[in-house]
Formats: sequence, C-alpha cells, structure tokens
Amino acid sequence: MQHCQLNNYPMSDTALQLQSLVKSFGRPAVDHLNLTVRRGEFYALLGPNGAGKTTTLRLATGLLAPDGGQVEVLGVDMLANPAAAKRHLAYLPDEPMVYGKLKPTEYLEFVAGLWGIGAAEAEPRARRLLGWLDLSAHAHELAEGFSRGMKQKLALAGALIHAPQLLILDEPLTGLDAAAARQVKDLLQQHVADGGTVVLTTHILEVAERLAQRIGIIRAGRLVAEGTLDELRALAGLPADGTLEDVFLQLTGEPA
Amino acid sequence: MTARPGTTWWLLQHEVRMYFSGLRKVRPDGKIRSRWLNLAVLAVIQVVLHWVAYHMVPKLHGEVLAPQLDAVLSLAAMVLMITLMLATALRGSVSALFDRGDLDLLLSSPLPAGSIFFARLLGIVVSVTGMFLFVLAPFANMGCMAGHPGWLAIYVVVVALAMLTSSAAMLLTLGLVRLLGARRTKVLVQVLSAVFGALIFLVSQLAGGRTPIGAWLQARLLGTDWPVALWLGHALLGRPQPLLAMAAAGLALFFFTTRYTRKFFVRGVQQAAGSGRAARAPRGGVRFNFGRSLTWGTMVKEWRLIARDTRLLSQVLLRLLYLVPLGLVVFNRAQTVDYLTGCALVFVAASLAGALAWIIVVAEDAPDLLFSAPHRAGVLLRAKLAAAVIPAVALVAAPALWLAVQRPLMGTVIVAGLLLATVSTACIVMWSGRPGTRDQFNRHSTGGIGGVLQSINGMAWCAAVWLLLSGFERSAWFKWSAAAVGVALVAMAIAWQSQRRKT
Repeated sequence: MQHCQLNNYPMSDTALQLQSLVKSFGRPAVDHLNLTVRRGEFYALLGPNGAGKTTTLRLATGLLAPDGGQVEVLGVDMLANPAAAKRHLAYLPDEPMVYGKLKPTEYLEFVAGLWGIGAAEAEPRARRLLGWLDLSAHAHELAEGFSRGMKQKLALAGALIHAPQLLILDEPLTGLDAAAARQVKDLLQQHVADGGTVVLTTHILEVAERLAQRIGIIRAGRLVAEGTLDELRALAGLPADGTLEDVFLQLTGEPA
Repeated sequence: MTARPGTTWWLLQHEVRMYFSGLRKVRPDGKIRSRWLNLAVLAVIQVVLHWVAYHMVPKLHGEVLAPQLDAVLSLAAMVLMITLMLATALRGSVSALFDRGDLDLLLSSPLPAGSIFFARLLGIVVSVTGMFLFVLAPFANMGCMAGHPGWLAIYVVVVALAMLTSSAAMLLTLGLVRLLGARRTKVLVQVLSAVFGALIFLVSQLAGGRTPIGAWLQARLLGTDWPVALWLGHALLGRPQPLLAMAAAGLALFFFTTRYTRKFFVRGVQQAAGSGRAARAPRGGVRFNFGRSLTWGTMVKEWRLIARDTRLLSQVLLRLLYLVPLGLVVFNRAQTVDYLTGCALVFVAASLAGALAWIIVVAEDAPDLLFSAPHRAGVLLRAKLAAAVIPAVALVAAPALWLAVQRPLMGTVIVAGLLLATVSTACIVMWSGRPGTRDQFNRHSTGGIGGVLQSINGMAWCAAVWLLLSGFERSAWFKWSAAAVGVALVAMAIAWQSQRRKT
C-alpha cells in the first residue's frame, strides 16, 4: 500500500488541545470542554446525537469561533494565528465538501492551491490518492454524477493532498460501501503509522473499538469519560469482555 | 373537507398544503417566520395595484383610438403575456421533470401516474395564472366597477392562456426529451425559457413603429385584410366569440395533454432520473494542471463552476438580455447617444458584476473548505471579487475602449465609471447579499437590503457618469454628478455597516 509523506510540522507533543472550550447556540453546545490528543494518536470522539461532537470538531478546525476557551493545533493557537494552525490540519465533514461542477482533477488542483502546494509535490500525490481510492477511472467526470461514497472519497483525497499532520474527520464512513470503508480505515491507520494524528467521530462503534487508541465520550457538550477501551470498561464497571457499545450506553446513560 | 387518500383530489390538496408551507420562511436564527407576514405584504401590494388601476382605467377609456388600434394594442399585450407565460411554463416543466423533490416518493406509491401528471401540470397552470392575475386582476376588478364589464375577460384570458402555454410547454419538453434525450432537453429548455422571457423586448424594438418591420406590421394589422390575427386582441377586449374560442382551446389542450401524454411523462421522468452521462475518458490518461496561484486558481474554479451550470448561466444571461433593449433605445436617440451609451454600459456591467458576485461570493458551494484553508479570508474574497468583476468589465470593454479611442475624455470617464460601479456593486453584494444557494439565484440574488442597495448603487454610478459627461457642456451639472457619487457611497456604507452588524 502506498501512502503520503508528511509535511514538516512544528514540534509539539500535542496534536490537538482544547482548553475550557465553550460554545452556545442559545443553549450550550460545548460546555467547558477539555480535550488533549497526542501526536501520532488515533482518537475517537463518541457521543449521542446532539452531544456536541460536530460543534467540537468545527471549533477545533477554526470553522466556528468559540465563546470562550482555547484551541491549539500542533502547538499553534488557532485564535491567535489561524493560518499557521490550519497549515498542517485537514478537516473532513460528514457532508463532503466537493464542487459538483468540477472534475476530481480540477478539485484536487484547487485544494492544492488553497494549501499552496506546488505541482512537483501535488501531482504524484494526487495520482496516488486517486488510484488508491479507485477514482482514477472517473477523474475526467464531473463530481455531480458521483455517488455519495465517491464524493466522500474525493473529499478525502482533497483532505490528504497537502499531507496534513492532523486529520479531523466527522463521520467519515457514512455512505461508504464495505470496500470503500475498508480503504478509508486502512488509509487512516496508515496515516497514524506514519506518525500522523487522526481524530474522528463515528456512530459505528466497531470502528472506534478496532481502530482508536483512545476514546473520548462526550455528552451535553462535556467530556464525560476518556481512555483506552480497557480503561473505559473499568470506569463503567463492566467486565473485560464488555463491548464498547455496553460501555457507551453505560457512560452516556442511554437506554440499552 | 378532506379528500379520500390516494385520489387525484387528495393529491391536489397535498400540493396546495405544500405550497402554503413553503410560504413560511426560516429566519437566519432558525425560527420560522409567520406566513401571515408574506400574505400581508401581498395584500398591501394588491391594494396599491387596485389604486393604480382605479386611476388608469378611466383614462384608458377616455383615449380615442384609430379603428382596430385597440385590438392591435391588445394583441401586443397578449403576445407579451404569451411569451412571458411560456418562459415561466417552460421553467415549470423542467422543474416538474428534473427536480426530484417528492416525485420519487409519489411515483413509487400506488397513486396513478395520470393523477401525478395532472397535479403537476395543474400546478404549473396555477402558478402561471397566479403570477399574471396578481398584476392584472386589479385592472379587471376596477374596470368592472367603473362600468366596463368587458375587463372581466382578463380572468378568462389569463386562465385560458395559462392552460395553453403550460400544456404547450409540457408537450414541447416531453417531445424534446423523446427526440434529444433528457440531458440535452434540460439545457435546451432552460435556454428557450430565457429566450422567450426576453423575446418580446427584442421583438418590440425590431417591430417598433419606426422600423420597416414595424411599419409593415402596422399597415397589415390596421388595414382590414388581416382580421384573423387580431382575434387574440379581440378576446382580451372581451368580445364573446374569440373569448369562448380561446377558453375552449385552453381546456382542450390541457385535457388532451393530461389524458394522452401521461405515459410520456412517466418515461420522461425515468429518463430524467438517469440524465447524467459520464464524459469520455481523455486520451493519454489523467492530466493535471497544478501550480496555479491561489488567486488565479480560485478565479478559474469560479468561472468553471458558472460556465458548466447552464441553468445558472441562462438566468444570468436572461438578465442581461432584458438590458439589451436599453441599449437599443439608446442607439435610437442619436443626439445624446454617446452619453447614454456610456451610462448603459456602466449599468449593464454593474448588474452583471452584482449577479456574478452573488453567485461567486454569497452562494459558495463549499464555504467550510475555504475557511479551513490556511489563508486570511481577505485573500480569497479578493480573488472571488475579481472573478465577478472581470467578466462584467470584459463584456463591455470593447465599446468602452472604442469610445475611449474616439473621444478620450468621455471614454476615460466611462471606463472609470465602469470600474467603480462594478467593484462597488460586487462589494455591496459581498457585504449585504441575501444568503442562498445557487439554485436560488433568481429569488435571492436581488432580494433583501443587498438587492436594493446594489440597484441604487448601479443607478447612481450610471447617473454620475451621465451627469459628469453632460457637465462638460453645462457645468452646473457637475455638482449633481458629485451628488450621484455620494448616493453610491452611502449605499456602500450602509452595506458595509450591515455586514459589521452581522459579524
């Protein structure tokens, strides 16, 4: 399997640090949230619907301004220096950010331009990504004719075109078939193996259980539990064979 | 009264309910606006229109017209109505076939396809009728109240014409789908809709009384040797025979269309669902063109997105097409041609820049992608403004530069006015444009405070150029030119302030 080379990035042991983050839309969506993700870590953020997962990710990526608190990406303050903080960051929302009237080649050219990646670096990477995500055969077609899964893969290719150090993904496997989901999971694991960091939200607990090194559980905008699966089991008072689903339902107080 | 579920009447009730639900707009803060607000605004407009009609109708009856001229004028009004109705009905037909909405749900239910087609076509008829009666019904009402019941013919004529044009538009669309396929039909019908929308303005210029075509038409119509052509005009004047014939024709075509073409409709919808066609793979494999600067890359992306969106492009061009007669009027007035030409160029360019700025800046498809990029928002916004302004200026560059060569002082004023008007209009849209997606271009791009301000700005710059040029002959007009520039600057300041309030 081929994979991308990572950019040089500022030295910091912490990939993402949220400190006392607050955001309210009439009611609190994120409520004094503290979260630290270490460099080279695969971190899954879980929570029931409306718990504040997407808002947290949007705050972390600078797409939303917090009402209070601090966001640091790879040691750079997002509020004080957003351009530098975003340089080594990629965000993939649950709705793919693609243009229907652009071809995949044109989309990748534009995204590479946004991150200021030169042709010598971007072109081989784009070819690799399109090939690896099975999009090469569709590279000349407009994205508006793509299935949701293909659009999601194209958006992922766009997210990886600048070889980000920190990859933040909101429900990345939504709408993907089994083969595509496997491709994306492999790619994310490879990214972490190469020293990159992945933070994702997912409702597919099996994904978090198998891939994530640490799991955070968020409820009503607050981090209610965090740790490895074993640590979470212990926290929930469950036996060693308890599944993440059991842990999740126990810690979020959701009816089983 | 609730109809039995699964019947045509039940489906019609559902469509009406959906229409009234659509009147309730969602506010930016997520709360739902009361539908009564919209209805109250419409009611106020109706009162104003009735007041206008109340004063106009007696004057129209007081005019002494040459023989047949009343029918000729009515015919002209009918032709105007028909072309505008056709434009609306063609858009409705494309929407009925290609906008999926709840069509998949309805077609997958056991509802008869005939009922669905009937409801959709009737929906187009009702929307066309409603649009025209909104403006014309006050005249019918006031005419009747003033003792001229013939004005009530407006109701019959509008409904009959709506049936005729809606059915014709649907038949044309279905026929084209059969002949050309769904994808080409979608493009062609959108273009046709735009052309029909502007046709009457172009024809009115070509067939005006001073042109040879106009003189020929007048001679034929006002003579007695071509009365059949005036039937349509006589119908609008309330003469029974033509009126009844038109109503019968409308009903007949509507029921023929719904009765005999429903299978074509279902087939058309099925074809439309698969209308996307993959392009052929280029020879030589995948090719890239990396290495563009951020500004140039953004501009290329914006132009591609617009050039490939035929619907959007036809809507933008339609707006420009409406401005063409303005140019023709200008050229008809030889004495002041230069100044007014410059004025028209400024106005056309500002309008186009405003439309493009709304599409490019306000209706960005992937704003999160741009915000997550490591750049200051200003860099991308400047690139986007340039992408909106450059085509607008380029469109009128040739005549403006020609003027600059012929008469340097005048040309310089016009070119400066062009640049200022386009840039300021684009900025106003950026600051205060009404948010929306690209498919809402027609409804949102000129709506709200941003729409009003961009119109004021365009007109103010237009006036400023004209007054400045006139000032070279009558120096007293210079100060009025400065006043017009002041108006434009105030419009900009209000737009800028409204943006600051939003952030």
